[in-house]
Amino acid sequence: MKKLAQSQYINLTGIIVLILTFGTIVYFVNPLFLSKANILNVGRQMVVFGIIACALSFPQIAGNTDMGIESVGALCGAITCELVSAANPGILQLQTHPVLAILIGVIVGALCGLLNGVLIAYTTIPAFIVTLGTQTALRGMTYIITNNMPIAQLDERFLSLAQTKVFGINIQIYFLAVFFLVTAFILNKTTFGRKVFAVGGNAQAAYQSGINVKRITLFCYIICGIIASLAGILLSARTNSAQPTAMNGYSTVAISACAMGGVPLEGGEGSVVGMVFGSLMMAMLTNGMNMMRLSTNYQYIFRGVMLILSVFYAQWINKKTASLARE
Amino acid sequence: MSEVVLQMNHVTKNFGGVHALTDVDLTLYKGEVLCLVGENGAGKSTLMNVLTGVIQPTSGEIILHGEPVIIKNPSDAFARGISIVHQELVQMGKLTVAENVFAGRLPTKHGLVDYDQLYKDTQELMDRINIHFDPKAKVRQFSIAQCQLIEILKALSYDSSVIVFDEPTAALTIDECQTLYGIIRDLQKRGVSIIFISHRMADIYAVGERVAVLRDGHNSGTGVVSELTEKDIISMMVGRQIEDQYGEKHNVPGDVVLKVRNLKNSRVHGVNFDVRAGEVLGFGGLIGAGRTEILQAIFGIDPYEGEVELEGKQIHCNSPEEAIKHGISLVSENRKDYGLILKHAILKNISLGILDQTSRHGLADAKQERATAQEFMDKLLIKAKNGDTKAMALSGGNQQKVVIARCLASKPKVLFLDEPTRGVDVGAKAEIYRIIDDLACQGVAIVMVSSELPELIAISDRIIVMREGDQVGEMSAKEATEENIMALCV
Repeated sequence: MKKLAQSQYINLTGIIVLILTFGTIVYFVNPLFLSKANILNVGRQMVVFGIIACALSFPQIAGNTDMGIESVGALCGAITCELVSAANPGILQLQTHPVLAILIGVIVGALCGLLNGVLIAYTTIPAFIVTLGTQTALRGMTYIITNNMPIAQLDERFLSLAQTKVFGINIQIYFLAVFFLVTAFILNKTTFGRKVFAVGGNAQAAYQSGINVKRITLFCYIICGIIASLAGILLSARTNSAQPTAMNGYSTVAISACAMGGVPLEGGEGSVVGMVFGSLMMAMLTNGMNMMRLSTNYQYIFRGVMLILSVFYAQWINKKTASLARE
Repeated sequence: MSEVVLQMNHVTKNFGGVHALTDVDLTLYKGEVLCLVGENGAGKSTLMNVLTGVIQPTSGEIILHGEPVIIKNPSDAFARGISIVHQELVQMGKLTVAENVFAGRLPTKHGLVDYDQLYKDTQELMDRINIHFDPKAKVRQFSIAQCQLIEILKALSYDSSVIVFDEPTAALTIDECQTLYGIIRDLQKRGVSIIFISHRMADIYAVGERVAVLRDGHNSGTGVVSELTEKDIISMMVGRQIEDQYGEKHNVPGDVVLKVRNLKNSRVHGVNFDVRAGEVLGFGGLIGAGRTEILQAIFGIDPYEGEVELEGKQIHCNSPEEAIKHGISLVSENRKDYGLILKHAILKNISLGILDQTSRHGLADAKQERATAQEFMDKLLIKAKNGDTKAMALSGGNQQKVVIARCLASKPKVLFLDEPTRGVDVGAKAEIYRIIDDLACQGVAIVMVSSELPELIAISDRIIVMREGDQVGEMSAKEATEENIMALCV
């Protein structure tokens, strides 16, 4: 037990117990919850949640936040889709190779991150305000670019990003695994990642230790923008279209997934393993509510209540296990 | 002696398997000043937390005015007339003096705050101990000393019979200390009993009547201050004789490493000095005299004009990052806010200084980092279970050593130490002095700011005195005395 108490994963007991509790409840209401088809379904829903959690983890661990992830994803998904759509109802009126289209989408995402990062690192405007502003403005750009209409009739090669199966499992789940691994690698194995934790742990101490805090903050937002754009692109491939309202409310989902997975809002801590569980919980929440046949409107209420309850519950379980482990 | 106000009998407190207090007794008489001393981790704070209801003792009893009581929580303690003036003062900066003093108990009339009454009450309290604030002033700009006075007013407003001062002088200038001593003597005359926690011998001899010493959670002795020598008290604290806490100096100054000419900014008005390899240059003066600002300017935190030469090369650092690359390191005066990442492990804190040096193609070399960090942990005798212990779990002295280790890891040529022993206990102080001497012997040029005059005189080779941003004097440590430094300071 002593060893467990010192493990960095001790604070994951809360989210694990939460997943088990919630899973059991849904299973008793609808046993189909644990069918193979539904488990794969949860996995697919988890893809975008997990990727945006990876995106958010960089600014969040560095002690900032990003409310604009959803709009960056929507905008970049829309741009990429227009470039691979045969129908082309948007304003771009261009068609390119899917690889180029994705590249352009990602570059736009990086630029959005650059904009956020410059404003946050080099001015004194709070990150919350900056990213709330970009969330609204970029959503507006998405509406303009899509002409307020879904962009459909996408290139087959592009759609294969969501439809290919490898060993009977959708390729998007492999993508998700890659995102988690790359994020874990950057955060834990590179000096950049170590500095991200230091900046979130105490920005002043990091600065006086010779870390360029502004540059780290800036790069966190650029990485966040790039990953968010890929989330938007993969989502549009999965839904066969780019919706003007795509990913609406997903910033909250990303923050929830990180919070449940043990990345505190003030930063400085967190693990990718935690984010895996956090995004799994968020996916199970959506899926579980469908399985329990809650109507969409009620789902919002339920989701909000669950977010608050689950963070509280996870904290409570953590406290219990920590004191148990100490004795 | 007069009547007993407070008695704590056989107080024991265990946290899990850790025995923080074992069978501790404490007696407090009416109108006395009892100094409670002991090294960090000796159990002073735990004992006071028991007294003020922050934690409950595992066993033992508290007898207040002759009756056994159970103090349930801090507000219960206040209600029973026990107040504490905290070491780290928390005031609500956006509120006024009066609102802070009466926080949570604002007088009301018809359900609204009665501000006339509030200001009147606050004024009355201030008159009692003869201090003069505007009750309507916002607290944000207040100094630590002024915030302390607000805490004292708060204690008075509860009509406290027992007031605990937790290291009140740690961040005060000498003048401010004198004012505080005056107020404490005044409170004493009114029959208030004071428990005064301090590391400073000067405090004990200035206001203390009796002293109670704790060591490792046990009583280690009590006595009447006038009958004890400094050495007696220190040996009770550490359980051994410390012959000379400053140790012997072995360093031999070499060539000039850092040359500063006409350094100027808004807080410093033209400073000139040289530091040699293996030399300790001390900066004396009052808090706010511009000493910290000199270090911060050269270290790249604050902008400045003037010339700085390192090993004959002109440099001008615009960030700590540049300064560290040039071989200058700074141990800040406020380790919790500027020196440490409290929630990270010791090893991670130390290796912060060498992330770039040990990295290959941007990848952190975890093995090398750990090895270097471990090496410094051993060299500086940082006491902790292991390197993965979080910095917040350490005592002040060990935290300070972690900051020094982080600075040393980048192998500086010039080391700036800003109040290196503030809030550090006697044992750790002696170790920090030994570290400073070792570094000087290895040829590091050291610039130290210290407000503790005996320390400044004993550790420095040369002393520069600052007053309100001006360089007002320079002397060798041999000719320096507390009197002639103070004469320049004020």
